Amino acid sequence: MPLRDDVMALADDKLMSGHMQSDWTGLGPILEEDIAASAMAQDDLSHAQVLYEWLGGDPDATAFGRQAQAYRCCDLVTLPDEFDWAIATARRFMCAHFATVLLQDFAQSDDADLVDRAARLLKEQAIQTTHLNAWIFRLGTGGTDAHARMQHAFDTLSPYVGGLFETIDQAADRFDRWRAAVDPVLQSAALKIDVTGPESTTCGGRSGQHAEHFILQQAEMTQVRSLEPDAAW
Amino acid sequence: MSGAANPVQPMCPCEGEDPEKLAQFEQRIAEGVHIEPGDWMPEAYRQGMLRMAEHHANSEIIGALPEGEWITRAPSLRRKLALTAKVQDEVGHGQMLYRVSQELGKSRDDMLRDLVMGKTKYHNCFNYPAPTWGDIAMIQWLIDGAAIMNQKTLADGAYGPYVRTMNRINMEEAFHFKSGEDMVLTLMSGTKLQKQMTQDAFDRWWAVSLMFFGPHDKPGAETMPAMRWRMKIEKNDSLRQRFVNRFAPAAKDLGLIINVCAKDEHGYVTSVREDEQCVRDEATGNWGFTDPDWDEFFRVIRGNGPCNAHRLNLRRFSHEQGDWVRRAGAHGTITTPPAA
Ligand SMILES: [Fe+2]
Ligand SMILES: [Fe+2]
Repeated sequence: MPLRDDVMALADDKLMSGHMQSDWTGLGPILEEDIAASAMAQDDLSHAQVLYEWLGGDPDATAFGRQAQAYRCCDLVTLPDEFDWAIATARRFMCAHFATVLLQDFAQSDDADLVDRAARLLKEQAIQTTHLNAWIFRLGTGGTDAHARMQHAFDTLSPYVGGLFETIDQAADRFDRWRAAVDPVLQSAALKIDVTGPESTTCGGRSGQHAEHFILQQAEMTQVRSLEPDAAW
Repeated sequence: MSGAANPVQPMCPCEGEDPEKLAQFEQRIAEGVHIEPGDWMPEAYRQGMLRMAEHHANSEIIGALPEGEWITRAPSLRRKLALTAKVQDEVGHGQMLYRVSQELGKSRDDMLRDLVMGKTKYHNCFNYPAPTWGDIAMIQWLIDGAAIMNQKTLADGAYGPYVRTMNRINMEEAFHFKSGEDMVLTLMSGTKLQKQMTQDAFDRWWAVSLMFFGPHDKPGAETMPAMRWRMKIEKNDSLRQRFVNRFAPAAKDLGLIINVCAKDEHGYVTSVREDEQCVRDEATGNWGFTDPDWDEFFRVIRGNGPCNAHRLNLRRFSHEQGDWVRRAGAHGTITTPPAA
């Protein structure tokens, strides 16, 4: 079922990107942006929950109770940012636009409940993309040093972009729509990404073949809960 | 979290201040009129309020760190969301309080730099370790609970911007406390492992909470400028007693044992004995308690606590890592990119 698979892929991306970004709370470079980025991390975690609910079962069991191979997030979302705001921002920017493309399609699907959920999420998603677009522009045009750091971040992340589209239905079309959203912003900030097309192979996170960094993040995320997996926390 | 227990040093009398203006100023405070940033105030008052608001802001920012370390490990979606939002609130409190401090004459950059250089202090309680999820429950229950008690009195103070900030902050602190109470209740209704985790964390945080309100008051505290000018409203010892009266019976109801603990230099408990003084005095209605180790308190304040270096290093690292972003931001106010 391509639709269910796509929803699971996005839900797991949202969970793990919320997990990665919420870790920055209290450590961001500017107090106001720390607060704003944390709000978006919370949105991502809530979005995961809303999509898990649609998929059925207990969202906590889905989020915390699976074996690592059962997660369908791509390797881009859990790539360590090494406490580098450039990596964190570039990643959030690319993932937020990917989420928008999928949510737009979910909002056009035949499933009334999913349509309803996606429409709600799209509103918050638009706030994220607007905010992130502005920051990519601001940092990309914020002087030589900032521009170099942002370009380095996109160079570091580019090899993982194909993984966003691994196993995703209508990957070619969605990839084009994603590029149409990110390219103008990148161009306005004189930034480049070296990505040619959606990954055709299925050998990454979306197929459950996760990179080591995901396994480590998932172990940390489930550490407390797994002390007493059946207890209330 | 965290009120500003005791950053207010006794100040020198207002030498050189215009006696007539000083009398009017004290009259206004006695009448309960708020002092606003543009109003005349003695220099000692301005400096004292700045020191207090800056210390409080620093405490919010450093206070985000011990709990922030547990966001990645929170055991459910609800707890992960609530903890992230809670830590985010503390950053927001820091931001609001830095704004109050800025109006008193010190720039945010200077305050954040002084903090990471160790020139200014933050609340002592954040120099203790939080090694388990139980500690996160205890911080939100006991430390946020103590902060609310302190900050509610500070909201009766005289300096308008600080008072208004306290009122806003206290609404959020109430949520933190509720969430802490819910976490402790859930854990104490759980498995043997969960209960033990909670008792161990309680042992680590009980004495720290008693120290939260600061050392014993000096004789004549109420006539010192800090209290006369309503920067500080209630004495440390009376706040502490109020805290014990509220939390000792609550802890016992939950099945927690109130222990007197010895700790090692890492802040870990090495031995416990039940606090026999912790009973209600029927005559006064007050609950007894064993005084915390004040030598330890002053040792930690001087920078030699279990986590002083760890907290400050992380804050400094984050400050340095973010430098390029602040410099890039200085190029102009945020604008949206040209439309595609
Ligand atoms: Fe706070
Ligand atoms: Fe708080």
